[in-house]
Amino acid sequence: MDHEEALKSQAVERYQLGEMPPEERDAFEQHYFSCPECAAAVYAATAFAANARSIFLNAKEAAGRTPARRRWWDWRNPVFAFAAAVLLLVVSFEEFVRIPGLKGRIALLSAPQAFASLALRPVARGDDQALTASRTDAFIGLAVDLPPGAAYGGFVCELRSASGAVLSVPVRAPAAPEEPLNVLIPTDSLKSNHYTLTLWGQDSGRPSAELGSFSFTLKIH
Amino acid sequence: MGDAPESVRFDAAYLDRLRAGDQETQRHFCDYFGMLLQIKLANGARSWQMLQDVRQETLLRVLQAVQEGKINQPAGLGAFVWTTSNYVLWQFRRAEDRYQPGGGGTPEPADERMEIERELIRADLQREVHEILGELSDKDRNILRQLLLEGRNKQEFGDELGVTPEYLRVLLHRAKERFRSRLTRRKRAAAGETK
Repeated sequence: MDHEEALKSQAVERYQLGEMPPEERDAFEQHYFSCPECAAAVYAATAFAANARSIFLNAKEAAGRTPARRRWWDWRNPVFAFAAAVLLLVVSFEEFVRIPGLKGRIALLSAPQAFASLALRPVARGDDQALTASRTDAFIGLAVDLPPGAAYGGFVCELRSASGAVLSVPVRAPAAPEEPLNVLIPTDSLKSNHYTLTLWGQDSGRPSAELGSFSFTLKIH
Repeated sequence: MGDAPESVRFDAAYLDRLRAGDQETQRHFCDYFGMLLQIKLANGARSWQMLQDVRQETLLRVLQAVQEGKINQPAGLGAFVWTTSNYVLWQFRRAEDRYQPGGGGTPEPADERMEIERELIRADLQREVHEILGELSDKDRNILRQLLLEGRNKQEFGDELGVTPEYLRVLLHRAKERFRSRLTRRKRAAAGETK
């Protein structure tokens, strides 16, 4: 595709609207990567759409928060009455449900406890590892052997579920190279699912090399 | 990143400066093609993280190829960036598929899309876009909202609002051109102020 063809065929707008078949889309992309005029047009169309989307989204959210016409402190104002009722519910919930729940959790975490753990090994597709944990367990433990010579200033770990949810996991380097790397993950953030733990070495604060991916199936009862 | 790509001639002199490691030329190269890669990969990468990784890896590989003297035709630089990005994206997708037995093809959630567009969304650009939207008729503004925010099928709301595909293209074209004019005016005004 050349510049004349791009102009005549309204390529920028059709690209924006997703109206191009794959071959034409590739041809147009290859063109605008080499044509500053078309590149500027594509940028303008994309930036306009992105900012317009943001403006529409802000307006939609603001419309959902339309203020009441009466002064809010007017006791006859049903909005005020509703707000007061909501506040009462929130305070009651905090007082009778959430805070006792938090206290219970703190008590659980302050006491010695057992948890299910698994030493992960790199597995080929189809070869699964499994871990069963109880919902009453505060954590699950995963242990990973570092590859020989994996000398990094730090490590980055990511836990990804089969449904696409991603959890960033803090990791501390083991005390000695031959020791495994141990991670504890709160069961609150987990469900029965298939997971993949990916580990990267870190240099100067940035992930630099993938050290391994480890798949396992978690069952929580 | 986030500004309009600054046009420049990709000639032999540009390639020589890039090869020599000239910092300003390298910065321009990364900003210019980084922005184009952001736009191209928005539809190909499965996540914001993958988009960033593919973009960075592509720029690194191309710079390496330039410094190793593998690119001799300046006019081919853009096409080389595009081809490299396709290959890098394929590699990243294959690596992800290998470690996700269920496949990684989950649809991109709305907040991920906003994340991908993050670098394009700025307060100063929003002011311009806001004024342009204000100049449109209610009908045209509603059409853009259906298209850009609600993500409705063009055929569906086109029939509902009596709007043809040609009308949509013209509407987008005019909005884009007004936006470009404003950006150009602002750039000239800023250049005039610094003289």
